[in-house]
Amino acid sequence: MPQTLLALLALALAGLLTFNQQRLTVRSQTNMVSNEVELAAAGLASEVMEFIGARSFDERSTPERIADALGVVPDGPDAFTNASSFGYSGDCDLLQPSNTPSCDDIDDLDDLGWTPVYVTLAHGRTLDFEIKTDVYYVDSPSSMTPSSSRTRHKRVDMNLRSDYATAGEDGILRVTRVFSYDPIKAEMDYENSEHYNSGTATEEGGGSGITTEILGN
Amino acid sequence: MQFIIDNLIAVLVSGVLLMSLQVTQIRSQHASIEQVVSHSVKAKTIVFGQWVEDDILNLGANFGTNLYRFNEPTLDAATGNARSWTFFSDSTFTHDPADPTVTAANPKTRRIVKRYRLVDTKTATFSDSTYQLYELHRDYLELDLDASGVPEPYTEADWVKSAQSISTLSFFTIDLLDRYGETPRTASGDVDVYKVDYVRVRFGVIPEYVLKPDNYIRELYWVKTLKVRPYWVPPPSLSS
Repeated sequence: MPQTLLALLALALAGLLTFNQQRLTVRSQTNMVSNEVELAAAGLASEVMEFIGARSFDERSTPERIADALGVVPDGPDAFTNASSFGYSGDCDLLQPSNTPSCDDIDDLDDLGWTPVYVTLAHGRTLDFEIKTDVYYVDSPSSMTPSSSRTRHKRVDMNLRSDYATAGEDGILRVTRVFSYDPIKAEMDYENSEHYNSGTATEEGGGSGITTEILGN
Repeated sequence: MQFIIDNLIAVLVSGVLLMSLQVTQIRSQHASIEQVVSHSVKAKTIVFGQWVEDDILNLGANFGTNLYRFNEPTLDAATGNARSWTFFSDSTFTHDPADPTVTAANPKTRRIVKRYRLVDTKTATFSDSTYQLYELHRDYLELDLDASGVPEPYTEADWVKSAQSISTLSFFTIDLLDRYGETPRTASGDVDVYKVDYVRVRFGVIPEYVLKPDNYIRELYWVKTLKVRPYWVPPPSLSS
């Protein structure tokens, strides 16, 4: 009888040890997968943020609106959209803005709910994410507090989440960046667009031309 | 025999115990190795990504505003991988031991040409798929400019190998994009290098050692999209 009890005790201990080991292994695997997903998420976030910044600063500074204003580029915040009118009811393609041409300025991405995006791995496999964004005016590039008035700076807050990584309500990654209004960028975007037809833009691109040979060969 | 029968329960229990301890030990070892491999491949991915990023950020350094800074990458039609890509920058010297006329007032400029080459390495099999793996080589050239600013001619033998990536890249792509996320093209279908605003580099890396019985592929994905054409280049109406 004591032998059987000892055997049962030994089995219980072995079971406990194995269970703990299994739990550690699962946790380690989960951490590794999360780690890999976070690396991909960081790259995706920077890519999406670049294409948000590539959009016009405001609806008023889009090439179309500048063309409507006969080429006059807005130079101050007075003409910009009120914060209460931020957002866009249609679709916004975060990785290829050309697919949703009407989602053409930064504040169109305000209050964008969880939107699916994915990255493509080898052999056409994909890794899915969801992104949500918020946009608001701030008084200066370093300010984190929304401004009640229109300014030259808009802060974009972006959250990413993935089914493959454990995270809280705000997702696995939060990125924030301020975009400041630059009239020269607005003018460049306008003059490189189809709306610019003064005839001064060159056929081969943004007003540039080869002035020197890059290579002698 | 009598002894074994007398202690049958003890024999069974000790057998089960030994087996479970052995399994635990193997799994623990497996997890440790996998963790080390995972950290190692992540570190290598980040280091490789860092030098690609530095190269793109330095692309066009010291160039004038009216010069393109890269050629169209040569693509592998089957996989979409960038097989070769050449890009440029300038380096200005104010001192040259071989040429005393070079001073701060009379600097000398050399053209730096860098080239990425994607080279096949080995294959890896996971589950039912076989993956071709690659290694990226970086070569460079430094060319003197003549009086009119045109670089001296060079041959294939002049390229100097300067770096190489981890040898388990699963893919490597380069996209030249405009601000709408599309590749701008000329009427003839070539990439319009003047209209490119962003260079996007993407690659995947798989671990160098894959432990059995893993039948799935672990792949680290890295992407960087960088603006390469500063928009403070004068607008077309102001360009000469």
